[in-house]
Amino acid sequence: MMPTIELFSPYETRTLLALADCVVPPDQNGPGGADGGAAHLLRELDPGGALSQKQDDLRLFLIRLNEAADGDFSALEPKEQDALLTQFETHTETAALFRQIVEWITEGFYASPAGWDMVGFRPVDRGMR
Amino acid sequence: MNTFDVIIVGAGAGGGMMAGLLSEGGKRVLLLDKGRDAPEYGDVGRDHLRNQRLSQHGVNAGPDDLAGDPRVFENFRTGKAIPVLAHEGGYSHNAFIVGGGTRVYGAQAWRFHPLDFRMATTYGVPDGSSLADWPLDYDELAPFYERVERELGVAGDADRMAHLPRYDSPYPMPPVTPDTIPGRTLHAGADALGWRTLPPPLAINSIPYNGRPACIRCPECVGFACPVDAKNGSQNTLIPRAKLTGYCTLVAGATVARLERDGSGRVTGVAYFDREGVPQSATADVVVVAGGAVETARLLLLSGIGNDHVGRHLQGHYYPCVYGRFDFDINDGVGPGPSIATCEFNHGNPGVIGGAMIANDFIVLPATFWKRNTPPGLPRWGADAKEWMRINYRRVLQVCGPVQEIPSPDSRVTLDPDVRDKYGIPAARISGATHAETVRTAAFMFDREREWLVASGAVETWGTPPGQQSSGGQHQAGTCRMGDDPATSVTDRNCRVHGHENLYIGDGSVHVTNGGFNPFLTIMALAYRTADHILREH
Repeated sequence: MMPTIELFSPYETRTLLALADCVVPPDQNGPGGADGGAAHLLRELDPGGALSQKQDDLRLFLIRLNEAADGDFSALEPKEQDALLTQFETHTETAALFRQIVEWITEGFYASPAGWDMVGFRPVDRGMR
Repeated sequence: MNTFDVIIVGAGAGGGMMAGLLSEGGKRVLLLDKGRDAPEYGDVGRDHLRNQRLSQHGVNAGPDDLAGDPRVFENFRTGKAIPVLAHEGGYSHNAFIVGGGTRVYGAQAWRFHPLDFRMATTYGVPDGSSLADWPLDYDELAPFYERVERELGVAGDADRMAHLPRYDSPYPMPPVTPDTIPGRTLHAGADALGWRTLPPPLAINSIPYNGRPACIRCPECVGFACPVDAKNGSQNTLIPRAKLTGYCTLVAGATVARLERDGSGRVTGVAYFDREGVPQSATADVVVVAGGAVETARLLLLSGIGNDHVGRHLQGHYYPCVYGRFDFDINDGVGPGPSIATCEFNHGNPGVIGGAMIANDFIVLPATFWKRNTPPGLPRWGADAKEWMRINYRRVLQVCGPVQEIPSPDSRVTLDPDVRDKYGIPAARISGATHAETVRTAAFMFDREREWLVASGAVETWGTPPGQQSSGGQHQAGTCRMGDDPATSVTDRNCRVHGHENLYIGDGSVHVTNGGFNPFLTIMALAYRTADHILREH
């Protein structure tokens, strides 16, 4: 599901969704971060969202990610993507921002139905909500 | 004219209780609250990242304008002070909304233990601590506890409150969750250890009560409004009773800037900003301040009222938590969650002061679980992290408890010299930390929690006992403590501010110590008693 949002270019959005699926990989047990966490994060990055001041941080990170991927992070094989992210995680200059973005994606995933279904959390009847 | 018999500042647990009782007693009451009135379920947010338990991105029960209500947090180790907003650490937030914390709380409705009122006599006063006895005792408060339990609606089993003197009458409702998987599992562990257990009393309807339905055992209880209105706070009990009399005027969105007084020390009324930011004033024969321990202290300081103890002795509860992983799905998703507690360690613990009630916790939301309950060393991303969550979200149980704090006079609320709120009113500054003895007691309770989980079959446990830090938060108390001697307290035994014949405090600020239990029932029982006093004396 591509969020309908224009904060990021299609290229940046594709990179973000690929990143989100590395952070929470889709598998036989359900969708990954691109479906839950990334959409949540994009909402928070919107003007008025809690992370609206963090757009540039994220954009810069996506640019670095694509630079390190020699062009298009989303085009890499999953194993190559993970290896690249491990470098970002361990490199002192990028580690803090990497950890922050990972948490944004993951907490968004577990705060949304994709994450709830995966762990077996049954919220108040959604019709009632 | 804006003239009333009583003005109450703050419509939370205590203020709402007093508004109901004073209106029914024939007083014309003005009830002011900075927050919004949000009586419907849909009026309170349901975002798992914006609630009273996890305010990662904001809050759901006020303040609605986060930037408009800053505080300043001073780190007691470094002395560094930073402005903080309500969803950030150090703010010591409760809630700014009609109903206060009771709009979204977990509703654990405990009476304090008789020894909680006599801490200094029982344990002596540690160096550097302001530990003191209350000016009243359990027996004096017991009749008011009983009335609150009945009028608010509390579900529990009086016969199993073995740590307390015998109740005069049973709770009006049976326990909410008599049988759950965590309850059964922890019961077996407690039996093996020889510990007595009991169902935590909850201000939640286990059966239809007071015209509202029974709890549907949903998992989104603490931190949120109740979808069927089965959770009893001041907003759906005593405040509606106040409105029904026709004597109570509720003004939501009203920020009180100061208390007005004449030369004799008599308080004459309040100056406040209404929802639109327009300055207003009102006068009354009696004023009650019930804004919570931080805002109440701030308002007295802004008004130049009270002695040097105003704002000091700030305390909340230390909450050591141990997480236990089981080899089966122990989290059955049956809310609200706390179904078994033990009070074996509230007092009489070797080598430490006081203790805590400990219980299994409310159902933990997946996002909160991810942020707080995962074991050290778990990868934070990738397939292994996801797989661990998929299997273990339902296999981990946490046991926690509110450790009674040993107060320090240096843990305090003052006015910040620079930071101001949206109306230009100096913000509260929170500084200092709890006394070191609290840390020792918390470590003792942490060990008991782990012992309980292991005896119950946990195959792995983790957690970290809290270090010395500032405390307050949702259980904030102590900043206007009561006592017989004006040299060591802010109010007298009737919660009247020393030196001011018509000014009362109606919240947890008056707690001398905060018990090893969730404090709201005590706040309400005291408020009930104070309302009685006002009706007799004024």
